[in-house]
Amino acid sequence: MDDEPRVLRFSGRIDATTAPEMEKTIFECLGEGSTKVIIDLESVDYMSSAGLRVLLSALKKMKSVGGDLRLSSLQPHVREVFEMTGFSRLFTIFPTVNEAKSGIKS
Amino acid sequence: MKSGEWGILPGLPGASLYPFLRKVDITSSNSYLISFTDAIVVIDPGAVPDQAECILKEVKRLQLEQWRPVIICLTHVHVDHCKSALNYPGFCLLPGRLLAAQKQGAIALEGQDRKATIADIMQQDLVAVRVDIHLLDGDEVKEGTSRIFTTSGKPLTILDKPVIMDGGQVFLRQILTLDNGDEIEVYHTPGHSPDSICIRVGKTLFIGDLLFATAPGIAGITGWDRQELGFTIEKILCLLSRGGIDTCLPGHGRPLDVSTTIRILEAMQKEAEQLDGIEAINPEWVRETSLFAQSLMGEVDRLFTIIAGRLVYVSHVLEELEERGEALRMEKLIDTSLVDELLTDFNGFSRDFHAGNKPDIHLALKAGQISAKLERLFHKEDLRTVLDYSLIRRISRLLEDYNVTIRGFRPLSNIEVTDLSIAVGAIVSARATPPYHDDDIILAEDEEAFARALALRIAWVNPFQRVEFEYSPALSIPLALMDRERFEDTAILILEKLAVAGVSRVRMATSDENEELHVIIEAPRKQATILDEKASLFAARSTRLSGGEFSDQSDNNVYRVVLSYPKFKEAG
Repeated sequence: MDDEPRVLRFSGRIDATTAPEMEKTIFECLGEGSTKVIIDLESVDYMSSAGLRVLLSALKKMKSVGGDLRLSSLQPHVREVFEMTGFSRLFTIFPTVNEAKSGIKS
Repeated sequence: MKSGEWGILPGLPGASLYPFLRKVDITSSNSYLISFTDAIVVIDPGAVPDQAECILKEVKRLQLEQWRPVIICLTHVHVDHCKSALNYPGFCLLPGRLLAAQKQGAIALEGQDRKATIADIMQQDLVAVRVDIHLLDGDEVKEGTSRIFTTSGKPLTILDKPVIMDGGQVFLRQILTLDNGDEIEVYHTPGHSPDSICIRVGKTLFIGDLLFATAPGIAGITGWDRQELGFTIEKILCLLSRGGIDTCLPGHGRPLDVSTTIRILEAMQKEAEQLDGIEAINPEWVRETSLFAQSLMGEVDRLFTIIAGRLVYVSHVLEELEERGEALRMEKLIDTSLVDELLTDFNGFSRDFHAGNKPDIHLALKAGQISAKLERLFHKEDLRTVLDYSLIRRISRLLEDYNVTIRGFRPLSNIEVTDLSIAVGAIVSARATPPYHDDDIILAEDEEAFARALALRIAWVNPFQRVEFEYSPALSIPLALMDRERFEDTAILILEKLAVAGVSRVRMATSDENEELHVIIEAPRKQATILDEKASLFAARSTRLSGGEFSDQSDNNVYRVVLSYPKFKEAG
């Protein structure tokens, strides 16, 4: 298994319409056996509860296989949603992808 | 009855009806095409090209079968009902066309009256047009007066024949008689607009926008008259009760049977009573309400996302703690998927609006529709068992404020004499106070009570835990006049935005300067934008509703807002 973490990038709005596509992408990646995944949200300017549910499902799945799922580069609106909903307590969040990559467990 | 298909017109042998039914919106009305032996009648051609094309295709086919004049009869002259008749080439050049509207509507069309036609609030152009037949042009009983129009060799007789209703009211009516004796009755039904008419053919009554006359954003438009509407509803109820009418066909929406129509009209009588004193729905109101909708929906979106997201979070943590029952209860407190869909729907609409594809009135009405649906999903008392009261109160207030505004009223402010320093002090101390008592979980009497106490603790997300508050109250300042709850809601919004922007220190102060009392909130800047444009507009409006004025006095290094309130002055 390659030690390099997979970086998944999403963009725009993550809401009721687009969350299913994000879910498909993440779970395809997990299905391929990736146990180190960084979700780069630098280009995501809006996240609804549908997006949060998808990320939570991914986190649960990753934990069940002993993997490591990190988030990076949260923009102000998304960071606000994470802080205000308590989701920032659940995820490991980094300012940049590079910082998320460093120290990721092998 | 099926849209786009011909069917018989009950009560008038030889006549048939083609309904063009659209989804309900204010872009264009339904259209109804009636084929008589001696004429073709189009009731409300609508306002969009594909609809016009469809109607014209049928008209041309009918005229090829047997040439007849075309009478375009308008239930009223709002542009969504008649624009195609004014400027769509196929309609303008229709051979043998006669355009008919109630007299006041006819004058409005001929004079390019943008207000009477609501072309102003629909932000549409209007071309002048000649109206061939001015219907119901008197307001006195003139039974028996006839006019005869000759349309391409076929006479059309118009007879004034008012009806005396059960209570003695006079219902103005004209009977249009075609060459072979077929009759079309038109009744004057002002209220929604002064020129509104209902048209009866056989056992079918075409009612225009009568059933929308008390709707939010519709009641109060130019020409709307609450008293006339009341009289009209009474007369129509009486007419329907006399029998002989089976179906009512509205300007928007599906066909209705008589009993449903009666039920709706009776409900409207009660609604109309509540509409005394509503604001005029004019372009200024529309623009103002559209701006309100944009800023409000931004905050509604934020708060609903927080609530939905927090419930997802709490449910997850409870599951991890093997409290499955309580976790499931969290999931059911609000339909988060439906909330998401509604917010996404509004966002899509808003994007179209900002791209210049929709007028302000559309956005205002759409926000009203979405906020009404969100209100139905929002079960305050259930959510209060888990989430902090401030969140619940803020959303309730937003939805109520918009609901009130779209109905043509102003949101209420409860302005009271308030000690500003105490009000601000309460906000500061509440930031570190959880909405539960430490003993609750210890004193829980059973498993259910324990699970609820646990959920409440998990659900408390304190965005201010990394923020140090400094409060400098001015000493001995006069009392202020303000709506204290609205002020609190505004201040909390600003503080939340500062906290999530990562500030570590916030200073709040009160002062007495320049004949006003001020609340100052400031913090060292950690990022360029604390309140984006929508949030700023919302905060400013919210402050105004609390009785004050909002002023952003920030610079590059310090974020600083000041909320200013009038002093309470004792009489004498």
